[in-house]
Amino acid sequence: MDPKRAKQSPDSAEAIRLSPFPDEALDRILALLDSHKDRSSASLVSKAWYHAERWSRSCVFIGNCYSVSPEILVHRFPNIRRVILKGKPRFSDFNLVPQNWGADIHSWLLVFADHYPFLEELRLKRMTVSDQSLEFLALKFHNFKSLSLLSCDGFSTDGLAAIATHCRNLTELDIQENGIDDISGKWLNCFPDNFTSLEVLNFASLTSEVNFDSLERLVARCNSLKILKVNQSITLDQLQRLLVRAPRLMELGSGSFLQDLTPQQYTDLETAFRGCRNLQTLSGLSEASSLYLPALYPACANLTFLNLSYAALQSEELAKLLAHCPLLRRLWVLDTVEDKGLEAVGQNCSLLEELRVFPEHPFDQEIDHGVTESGFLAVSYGCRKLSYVLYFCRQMTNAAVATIVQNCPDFTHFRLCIMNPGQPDYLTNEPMDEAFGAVVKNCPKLQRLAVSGLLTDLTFEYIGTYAKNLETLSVAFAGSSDWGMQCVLEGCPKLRKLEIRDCPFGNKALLSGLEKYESMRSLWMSACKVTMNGCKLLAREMPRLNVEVMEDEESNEGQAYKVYVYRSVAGPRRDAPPFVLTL
Amino acid sequence: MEVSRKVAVDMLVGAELSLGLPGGAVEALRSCGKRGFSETAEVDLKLNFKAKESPRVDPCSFSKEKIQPDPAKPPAKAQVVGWPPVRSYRKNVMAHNDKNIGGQEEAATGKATLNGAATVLVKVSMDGAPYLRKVDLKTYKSYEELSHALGKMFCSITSGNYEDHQGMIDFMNENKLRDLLNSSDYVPTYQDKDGDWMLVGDVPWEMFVGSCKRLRITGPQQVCRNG
Repeated sequence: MDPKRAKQSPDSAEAIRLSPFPDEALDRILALLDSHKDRSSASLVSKAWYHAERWSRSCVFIGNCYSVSPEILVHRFPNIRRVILKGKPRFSDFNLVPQNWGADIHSWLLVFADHYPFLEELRLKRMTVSDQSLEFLALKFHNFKSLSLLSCDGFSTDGLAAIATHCRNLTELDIQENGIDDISGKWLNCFPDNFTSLEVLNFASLTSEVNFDSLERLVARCNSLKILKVNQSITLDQLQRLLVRAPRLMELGSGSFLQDLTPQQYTDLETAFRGCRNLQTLSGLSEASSLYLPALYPACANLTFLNLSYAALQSEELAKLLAHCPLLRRLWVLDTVEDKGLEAVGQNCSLLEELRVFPEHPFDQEIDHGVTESGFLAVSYGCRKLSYVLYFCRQMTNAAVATIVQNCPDFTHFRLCIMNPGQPDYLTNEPMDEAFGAVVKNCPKLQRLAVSGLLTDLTFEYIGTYAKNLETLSVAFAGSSDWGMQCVLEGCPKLRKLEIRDCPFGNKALLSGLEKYESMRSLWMSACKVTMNGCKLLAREMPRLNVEVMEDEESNEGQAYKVYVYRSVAGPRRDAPPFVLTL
Repeated sequence: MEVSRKVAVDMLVGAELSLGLPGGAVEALRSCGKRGFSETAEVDLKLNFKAKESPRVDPCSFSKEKIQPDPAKPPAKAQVVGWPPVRSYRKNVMAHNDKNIGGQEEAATGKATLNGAATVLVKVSMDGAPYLRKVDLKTYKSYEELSHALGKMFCSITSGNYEDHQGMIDFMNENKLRDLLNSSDYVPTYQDKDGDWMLVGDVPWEMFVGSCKRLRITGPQQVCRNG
């Protein structure tokens, strides 16, 4: 069904002169390219390559849905089967973006219905998706296979029912951490009895109870099911029954893991886990009782990713569990495991590459529990391959961070959140500048950095001087003057995303990046010292940037309270709500 | 860990208005019904009724403070919108879990492991028996075993020593005792963690072991009074 592109165009003639091999060969070769970056590079070689690339591309990734329009997209890429779209600025996850800001998928779907009738896959992050859109998707795209919604909002379980009812070829339904209106679990019953194609089912984040019989029958008849993540309504003995039906699972999300089991039930559960030889990822376990955790030890031998970030485990429980997970590469935990638990991580997980420690009580400042610099240090001594860390803590020292990055120089993602804004090194009372200086000096591969604690411009001088591979930087309650932000804008050649809140950076800093923003995906600045005039100037000088200011009751006269700047080939937004001013 | 006092969670959540979670105060509610916890979680209850709510900090003035960072003067400890950067979904889930169950074991009560390392010693009293006994519930696997053991136990206490005790039932015969225990005349009851007296046998054995604090085999008169 793919329309053939015209071979008689003058570009072809030129291409034949310039490239010694025929177009068909070029097509074949380019079709093998997967990486978006590679494809972008290929498309820039020549017109012939540009056209060969655009016809052969089947998957497109759009990091900012407003950087391009659906019309432009379908015009350039006629044969897309898979679309990945990201919408709102990341700080919308933390309630910094008002409701109804935009990033609605519907206008995209309308265009896709005409141009990509064979669309198979849609992966959305921070988009607004309505039930109406989900129903439209289910009805209009007969080949649709794979839906993934992460951190989206605007839909309800009714929309999921439409997907389940109409998508006959569905292989993936992945619903994660959305602002969803969870009306009932009845959507699960909507999969037809003769529907067997499901490979991925993730409804862990939904709260409504589902009909277990429906689920069991669904799991039983979908022989290719590889990923199953159930919600908290599923009990332990129900889980056991599911595992018996799907022993080839590679990823399991267990639900609450809470129930009183008879000894026989416990044995059955343990046996079921022993049968799961392919398990690589395990998650869920919220409200897990340490009484029953041992039941899953037999399934842990091949685990590479363990997500305990909703399971309030204590240090001993974690230690015992980790002893059974020798191949672990990624671990997410709650800070209930405390430093002692992290010591166990250092002792047991020598292959660990990624660690995320989430706070159990992020908003409680009185609390003494959680993790400290000791835990992080302990991990760094034992896990020398660590490259990704997200660490929420209430105290940190410069010395600790310096040691950590000496132990682990391979960091690509370093996200440290000292939860009290502007908190200094708790031992020396100095700013945390040297900590982040050490990070950027010792970790040449650093791509993503999030800073916190009391920081002066010196931190940003370090970043600008050393962080030459930095692509994403998140800053909050930091810096002393415009100079800080200028250092980063001038010093980091690969910077793509810069998000700043509550920092003393003003117009001078903003405008110092004039040349820079077109090479970046976006800039976010909120509660800084930028003014409307500064933003207007930026907009005037850089017509290919969208400079958007969000009105807010907190803003003072002339202040630009929330600023979102991004490059776009689609021009200013046509769907902006009244509180978004495009300058 | 301190033993928590039980307070109605709704009241607590209502009292602690804050921008984010009802931080700090967690509640260990033993869930009623068959799908409950076998071990009740006990968590520090920080009954801090001082209003945690503060007016939303004006981050603009806040950031002005930051121009001259003064380590000696930490910024105001007020709740700031969107900080720490924890996703709304996660916030809501953690709040929800806090409300329901603590989700944590209290190792101190010794009900931690399935390995049987912990013992569950409870006092057993029987109406008419002169003194109490203590049993380790962990050594039994079912109600039947317990009943059998109790029968034996009270037989040996009473045999031959208290013939002149008034109102005493004839415990000489083990079988008779068991019949009594199984009959409707004598009712085995237990006191659970909430302090309520419950009828033995309603809940799965494991749950019973986890929640039983004290056993009492009551005579018919006592039962009516408890009614």
